[in-house]
Amino acid sequence: MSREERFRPMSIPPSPPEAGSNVRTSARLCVRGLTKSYSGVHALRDVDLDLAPGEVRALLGKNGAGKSTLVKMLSGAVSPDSGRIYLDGAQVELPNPAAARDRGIATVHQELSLVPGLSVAENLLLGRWHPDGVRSPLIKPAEMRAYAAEHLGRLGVSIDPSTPVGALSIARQQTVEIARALSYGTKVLILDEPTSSLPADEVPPLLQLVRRVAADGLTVIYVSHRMDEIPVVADSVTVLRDGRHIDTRPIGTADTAQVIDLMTGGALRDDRRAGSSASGRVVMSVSGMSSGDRVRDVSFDLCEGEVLGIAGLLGSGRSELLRCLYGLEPRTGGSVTLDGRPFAPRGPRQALRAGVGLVPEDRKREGLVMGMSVSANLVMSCLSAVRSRGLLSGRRERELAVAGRDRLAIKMPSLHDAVGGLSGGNQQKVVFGRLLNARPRVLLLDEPTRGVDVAAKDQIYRLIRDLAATGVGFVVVSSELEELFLLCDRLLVLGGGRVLAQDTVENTSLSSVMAMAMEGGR
Amino acid sequence: MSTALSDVTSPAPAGDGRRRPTTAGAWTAISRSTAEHVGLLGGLTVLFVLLTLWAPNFLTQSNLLDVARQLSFTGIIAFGMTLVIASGEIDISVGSAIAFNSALFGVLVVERSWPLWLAALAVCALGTLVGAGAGLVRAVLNVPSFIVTLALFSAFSGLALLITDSVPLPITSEDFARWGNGLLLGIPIPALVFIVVFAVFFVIAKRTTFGRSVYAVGGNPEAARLSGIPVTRVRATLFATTGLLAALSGLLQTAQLGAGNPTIGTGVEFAVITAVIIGGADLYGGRGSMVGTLLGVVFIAVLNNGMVLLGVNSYAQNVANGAIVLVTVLISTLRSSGRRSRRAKTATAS
Repeated sequence: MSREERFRPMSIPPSPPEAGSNVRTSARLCVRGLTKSYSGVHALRDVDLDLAPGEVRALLGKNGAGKSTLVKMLSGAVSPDSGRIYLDGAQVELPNPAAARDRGIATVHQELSLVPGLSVAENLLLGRWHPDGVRSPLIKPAEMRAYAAEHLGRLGVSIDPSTPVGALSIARQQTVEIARALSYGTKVLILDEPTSSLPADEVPPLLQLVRRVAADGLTVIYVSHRMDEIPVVADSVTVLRDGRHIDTRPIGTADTAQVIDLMTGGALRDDRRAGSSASGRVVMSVSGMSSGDRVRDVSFDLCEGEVLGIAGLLGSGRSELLRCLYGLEPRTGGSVTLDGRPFAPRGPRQALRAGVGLVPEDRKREGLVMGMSVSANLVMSCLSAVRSRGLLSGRRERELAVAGRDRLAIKMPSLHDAVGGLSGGNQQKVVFGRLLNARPRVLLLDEPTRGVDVAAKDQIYRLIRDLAATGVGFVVVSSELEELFLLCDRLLVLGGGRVLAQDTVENTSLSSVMAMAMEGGR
Repeated sequence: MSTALSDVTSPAPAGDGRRRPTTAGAWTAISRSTAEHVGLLGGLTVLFVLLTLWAPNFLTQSNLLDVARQLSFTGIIAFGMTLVIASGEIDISVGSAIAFNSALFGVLVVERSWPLWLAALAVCALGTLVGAGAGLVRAVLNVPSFIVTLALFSAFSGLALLITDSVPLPITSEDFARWGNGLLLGIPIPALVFIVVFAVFFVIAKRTTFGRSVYAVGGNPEAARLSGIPVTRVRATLFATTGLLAALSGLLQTAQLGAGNPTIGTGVEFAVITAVIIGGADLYGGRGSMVGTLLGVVFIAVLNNGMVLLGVNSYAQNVANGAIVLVTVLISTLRSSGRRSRRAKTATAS
């Protein structure tokens, strides 16, 4: 395939997916009345689905609409409370992922499950080791390579089976994972946001590959929100909302506006915050900032007391933008000033010193030291402020911790307890408290209410507004648009690492921002 | 810089009722950390009573002072090792570092005729520097500390033999020998050094930003880094610390032996790690206390002394040490998995 061809097929899909093109009438996968609730809250309610062989079905829905619950149940990771799954007309039980795979349902997640140090062939046969299913402790490398070459060949890709997987690009690794899934005799392939981690020029080949396996009769469930690729790859779309199946339509009858209507239920709750505390004084000014191909030429000004929201799909560069500002990702271009002075932190320590704090997306991995006490976590970013005469002062630590606890209404048995024992909401408040103790001028929030209960969510919103009123500037990334509208003064829509639009929340609507993000542009 | 949170709020109730004067605070800290080690303390007490009853000459002044002296030589390294292990790292170079430091000291004093104090200072400085270098290799180049210190272990033992031609170099200074054999106020001088090192490290672990950073890095390096903790500097400093302590230990043993000896220190790294693990430190990082290590060091020393007095075969002593390590780790694994499942329950309940 020449380079030119790889760029073009977006407009000329290999097999035009007209409605029902290679869809046969008998269903391959039937789902009836699938229901699941977590501690009394319905994640999925009475969902029915019918998928034909050779059909590519795009699955859409907002955060919490039930997509991932549905995918988890189909892939055997979660058992339904009630409801049945039929495969080729026969009811199947999927108690675990291995059972789902053996019945012919394979899932390729965003995080690939390959072993980087092993070769492509070894990864394809991971755990089986023998193409012919014999049980023998001796491995036959030549047979493995031949097997891998055959399965990769079926997908129309040429990857040397003896290459270590770690040496391949993400897109090629994904291809290997798909080839492995298909080598199990898969009938239904579930792809979960497969293009979110791919650079723009790797997307068309993947879409072609999906069309190719569908043409061979495979049923594909394609979870994605990119309206620039869904019409190219899918035959039909199913929209979930609040755990319910809302509608399934052939692709030709679903444009972005209609899909958004279905996803949001038409009644858009774009509640906005009352009044802005933004002053006219710019605290952070970003101009032309780039970081590799994840953040490209981003410019914006942030005022004191302003809350700026970053909207964009997964993989749009929204998290990378924050990480780049915090000195975690190298900056490859552009400049940033903080209070008029150049700001180019080489790491979190310098960023914090200059007055920029980050609430990371993954609290467990990046936010807190779970085994340490609440008070130790609260003072972790301001240890020098706890020191008096060279030693940590228990009194100062206690003062700061007690003030943080009271200010943020953190509920805990004792400040000496390990922070890992708190609820998600209280843990997130501890992250906020830790950063506030470092007296930031600008706070970068990456999914500030992820894994947090409703009451804590409201408290966090109030906290953000109160802090904004004291002059702290905020840059908020959230995959929940409603949250951004609730919190922010101004929104910036990212797509493919670029700023697609920016405007105040008064001048825009949730559906137009959503449409812009979903239509993307890479 | 004043309290950041309290000036966002209205004046915070700083005089929270439970505030105590600093000295009392230190005592609660000590009693709290003692409470963590009830099991070990109990085991030590039982062992002590049993040996008093059965082992001839166990409860005599000379025997106990001898135990105190012997445990001090390697024990002082255990406190630095506790921090290294609490940060999720390991240093297996300390044993041969002792040999190298002793040999180097011998060479400087005997062959180069350096004054004792200068040679001692040089040995300590070099030990610290090499340790810091190892720490930097670990932190900057991301080489696992096991590998870095394994290389150092091998190089040190080779160098010790090289510079001395594997012959001990006698040092005949009465004053210097006192550091290894002498008593002060009726206590062996090495034991006094041991106590001072314990006190210093207790304060480092509990009351310094460095100590706090060590536990944070061990508990979650990524969160520590994002919180602005200088992870690289912390790691480099840690290995400098064990380097310095190994030098100190090497000097004390040289004083006791009256010679710069390139073949001492064999197996010390594992004795030290054993004591730290028995003291409750977690090899995965985040946990480890000075009080626990102190008890661990004493426990191992008393146990081995008891076995010698009871005439147990010295090979069997090694087997016993191995069994003790395994049992301790099993107990702590069971305990922490119990804790984890309880925590999971409370988390889902809330």
